[in-house]
Amino acid sequence: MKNELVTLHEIAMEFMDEAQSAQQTGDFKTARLFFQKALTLEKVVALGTPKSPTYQLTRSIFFRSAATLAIDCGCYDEAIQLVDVALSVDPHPAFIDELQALAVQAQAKIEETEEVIEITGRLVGADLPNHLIKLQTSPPEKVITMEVSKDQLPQLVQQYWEKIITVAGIVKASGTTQFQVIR
Amino acid sequence: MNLELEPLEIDLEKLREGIPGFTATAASYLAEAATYCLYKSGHQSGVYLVLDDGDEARKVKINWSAELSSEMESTWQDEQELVEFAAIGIALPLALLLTSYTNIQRARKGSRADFWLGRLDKNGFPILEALLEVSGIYKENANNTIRTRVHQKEKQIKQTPYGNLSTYVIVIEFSKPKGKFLAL
Repeated sequence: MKNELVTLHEIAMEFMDEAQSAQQTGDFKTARLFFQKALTLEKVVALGTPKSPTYQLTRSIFFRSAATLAIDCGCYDEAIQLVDVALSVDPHPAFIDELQALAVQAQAKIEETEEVIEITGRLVGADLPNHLIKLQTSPPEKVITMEVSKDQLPQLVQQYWEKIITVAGIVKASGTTQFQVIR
Repeated sequence: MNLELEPLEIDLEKLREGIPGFTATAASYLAEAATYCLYKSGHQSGVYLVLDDGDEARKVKINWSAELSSEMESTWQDEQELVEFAAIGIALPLALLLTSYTNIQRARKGSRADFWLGRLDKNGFPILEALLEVSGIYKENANNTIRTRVHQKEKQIKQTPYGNLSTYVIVIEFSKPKGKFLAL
């Protein structure tokens, strides 16, 4: 029976082909969806590659592949994380510069696309497992979801539940908003 | 040409079933490109490709059974794309015949695919060890020869950080047909 990781890699490469085809026809939304699917699988392959020196080249190739796919689908934070992991586990010397260049490219994209926003609203919801808070603004009345760090979440809920607060956040390239600070 | 050497043989129908490291879908796509490109160049199944491996030339017999169809023609209208995939369709099985490697993987890199050669561990997971670069020419002319393509590939590889890795270059020309296999 074929190795499970190899099967995942092959499917990832097929998703990548679909993404490239969509890209060529100008259907960037579909392309991004397929790149995301490819990334999800290729990341599993990279992280599942054995850590022994025998697999040094294999590991670096799969991590580079996953990090490149992450950049393709706009998941720049994830690309940087993948590069960090790749560089922390005995990377192949031929890949160090290239992996670092991918992290630089992802960081530049983040700086290009991130936008700082300020929101005033009532803290009306918290999703503890996913580290999210929900602010209800008024007017216009809408609920804005923000990502919060694991450490910040309990404190925010205890101190500000149902209170009106003004927070600063960063809208990331992926479209999610990351909580920064209470003004 | 050393005619004493047993000709190598590539079966494009077998390639359609898959190649170590490739799904049948991907391999079938490559096989179809190779079949159509050979048809388009005026060849029939059983054609001999003359392969120069640096030391000597040997024959490679290429077999297929798929018939030329109008669907093939409409699928492969872009000649550049056709030749690129057709060359890969010939080069991948050749790489497995001419090296000791038993597995091929491709991985995302920039806008084009590159190939890695290796073998499988006891769990069927690849241990990759060498780089494979492939190039195709529809019809050789004074400005576009196998020799210049090989030089281009050599130059490209020297400019990359992979210069110290084992690297193989395969260039396929379809009109004769002929090819070059080089271990850098």
